[in-house]
Amino acid sequence: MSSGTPTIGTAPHQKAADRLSAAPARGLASSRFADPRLRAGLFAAGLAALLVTPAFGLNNSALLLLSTVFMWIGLTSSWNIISGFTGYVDFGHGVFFGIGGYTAGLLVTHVDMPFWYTVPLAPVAGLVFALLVGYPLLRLRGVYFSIAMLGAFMAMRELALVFRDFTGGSGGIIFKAVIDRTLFYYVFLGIAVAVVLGTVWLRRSQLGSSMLAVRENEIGAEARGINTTAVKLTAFCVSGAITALIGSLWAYQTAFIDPAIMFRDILLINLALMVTLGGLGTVWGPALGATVFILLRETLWGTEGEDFLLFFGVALIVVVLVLPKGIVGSLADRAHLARARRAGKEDGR
Amino acid sequence: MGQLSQVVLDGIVLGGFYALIAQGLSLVFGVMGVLNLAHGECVLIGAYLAWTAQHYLGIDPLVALPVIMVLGFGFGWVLCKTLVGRVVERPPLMSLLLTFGIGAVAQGVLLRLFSSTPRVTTTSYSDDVVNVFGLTIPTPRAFMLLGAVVILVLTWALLNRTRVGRSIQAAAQNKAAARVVGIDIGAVYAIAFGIGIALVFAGGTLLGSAQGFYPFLGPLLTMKAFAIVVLGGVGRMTGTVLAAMVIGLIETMLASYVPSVGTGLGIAAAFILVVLVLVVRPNGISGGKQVTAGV
Amino acid sequence: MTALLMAEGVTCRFGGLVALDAVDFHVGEGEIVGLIGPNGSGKSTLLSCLSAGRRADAGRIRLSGRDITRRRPSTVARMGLTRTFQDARVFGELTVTENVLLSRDWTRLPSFGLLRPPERAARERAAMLLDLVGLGGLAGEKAGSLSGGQQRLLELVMAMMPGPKVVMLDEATSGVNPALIAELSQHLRLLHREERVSFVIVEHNVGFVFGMADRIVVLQQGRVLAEGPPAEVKSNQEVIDAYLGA
Repeated sequence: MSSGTPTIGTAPHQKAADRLSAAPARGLASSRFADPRLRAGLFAAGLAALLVTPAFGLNNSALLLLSTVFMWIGLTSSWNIISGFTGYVDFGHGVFFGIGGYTAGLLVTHVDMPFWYTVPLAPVAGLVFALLVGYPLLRLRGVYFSIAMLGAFMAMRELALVFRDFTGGSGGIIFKAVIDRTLFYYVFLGIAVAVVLGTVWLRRSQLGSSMLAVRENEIGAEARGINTTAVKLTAFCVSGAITALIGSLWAYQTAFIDPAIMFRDILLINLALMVTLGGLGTVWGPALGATVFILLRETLWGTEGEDFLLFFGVALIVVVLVLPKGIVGSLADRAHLARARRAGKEDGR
Repeated sequence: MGQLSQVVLDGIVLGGFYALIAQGLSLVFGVMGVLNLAHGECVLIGAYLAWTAQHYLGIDPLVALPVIMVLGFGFGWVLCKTLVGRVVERPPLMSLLLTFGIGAVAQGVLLRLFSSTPRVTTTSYSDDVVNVFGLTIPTPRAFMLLGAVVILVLTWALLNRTRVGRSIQAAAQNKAAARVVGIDIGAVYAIAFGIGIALVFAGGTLLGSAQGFYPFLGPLLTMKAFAIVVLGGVGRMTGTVLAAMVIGLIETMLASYVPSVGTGLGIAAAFILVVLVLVVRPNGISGGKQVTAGV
Repeated sequence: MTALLMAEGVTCRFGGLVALDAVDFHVGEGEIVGLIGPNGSGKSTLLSCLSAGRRADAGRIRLSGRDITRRRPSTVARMGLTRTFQDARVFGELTVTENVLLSRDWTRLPSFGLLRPPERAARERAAMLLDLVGLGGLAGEKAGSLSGGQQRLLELVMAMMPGPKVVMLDEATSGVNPALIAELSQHLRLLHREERVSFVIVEHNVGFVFGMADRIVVLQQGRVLAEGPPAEVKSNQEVIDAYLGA
């Protein structure tokens, strides 16, 4: 590397690249898949295929499998906003799923509201809960927040069990069943697409960058003029509201809720597992992780057998040890490395 | 009044047990920065070990206790060397996910081995009671308190009066400096994790003869221990004991004075208390290590 | 005359230890103030108190006449007092440009602008500042892949981005290759001229700070030991005994 007399303001490119550093300037356009038009095209094509799929006479169980995948894409992608983007990993996120389901269930039983009227109220309930709990808990350092949310989850389950007269206790609430797989297929598809596109957009916005900054260094982010409390709370509320919405829809689809199924431990493990598998904090990772995991589980495992805890636990341990950055994160790393290597060659090193 | 003092006594007994398991969590977290989400499951493993020893070999839990603690130390040591130790230096999420996974595996294994039926370790003194100043405690619960106190005192001595303990404390305060003065951090982690698990195995053993337990109890215990650690401040034994007593008392009072729903509200009460305390005192009752994000 | 940044009687305690003992400190418009002192003299603590990162136990801090003593750090930054850190706090997962855009002039962001990608004016200012310090060619790289010296420059740009009134630099030269320190001081001079900003420079590198500053403040054990133009401070016997002579 050459060292010349320092000059100011001229030929910044040379100066920076030559004297202070290693990597030369290069955009992100090295991987073909990174071409935004190609990606948008693929996305649109895939979406079109999914839109017409029900018309081709899929049986109910195939439709249910696909809508389960969509539901999980919605759940994982919304979980990723608080846990992946801001780094405040919410280990009790299932609480919002339960709150959504119970909001719908209680309104239907106590106020006699038609179910579809309750749908917009479920995310509102999730939002309010997120505000109430998030304000004190998001002041905690990351690890404490995680387990405190687990506490919130368990506490709400206890309340749902204990206040029998109001919630039906362990007996639960039964809805008037609407069994229309195609309807739920489209509803969950719509949610999945909206949440994923929302994440893409969020990642490009100032709010999204602020969330990543909070994840990396909260004090540093605050010093840059970012109100970190507001950023965290926003992420948490959005994340919670979407999950509550999905919870209410799931309750309706299932036609029955009780504390044990609306506040399921397994939901928490699944979320953590799918998102870690796909790539926590990445835009596409959660969706990919949910898809891969559910399809794998269907083909390898069949239904949830009695050893599912064992299975999920082992899977989680293996993913953490072998693929901590997830599929998307690892691919991005490899692409980055390849780019750096190519750049190195061009520099004649 | 008679009833109140009985409730307080029950709360203290429960608090003693909580102090023991919370101390294990606090020690591991203080030294390694790892919040062990499989903590409650480890308590249960201890309980099931004692149950097995009693049920199949006829060994009294109190006799088995030292052996179970040694097993706990070994289990923790191995767990740390093989799994947990690999993620200590990584982002905290990794250790959370890993211990979450370990907890799920443990739950799955316990379900398989022992089914979901609640168990109690029956002993020759299971139905006996001890009278103290006109108040009564079932003998197993008296042993639970006594055992917890003895083990906590020994732990305190171990941490403050021995070389190993001082190494652990040094590592908890400043890893880099501890390395410089020649402390093998990897070994300290394994020992601390081992001690932590030995404490909860002991807790499980004592709990097992005092009340029923089942595989799904784990997360509940983890939560209680966590609430206590937050309330008491990480790495402060007096704070931990104090907070454990508070939680124990709240729980017994809820159970006796809130009709019909009180017994089911242990976690909810602990959780609400944690939230309230954090609003007022972001670093826990007694201060200590910083819990908040620092902004 | 009131100064741009005015701190009166700032006191800060850590438990029983008094880190700052009723320190008065001010920065005038366009001034470059060097803050020096031995380790543990309270330089960094003062910087933290001024930028609201640490709450002062007593005293009052005003920026352009407005009280900032009990504000959030982000509010203080938005009001025009920004800082860098000893350990350059850039966001490694974000690109260089994203880093700079983060610390923009938030007050000029249109409503709901947070939800949109950054607008053109902000992008242009970011590019201009990056070019100014010679990082323009690295704009698309992840900040984490930059060298230590480059990260310091990037953090400087981040502190400059919102168009602040006062920028405080905490150990700007530490970890920077000695050959590049001269370049750094030229960048600072240029920014000072172009942006009409005041600097507070906390430094160990005495040569660097005496060369840059209009005025030097010497701290010792949480108190102001001496204050004045560099030449005067340099010849102050107390300062030589306490600090420079060592």
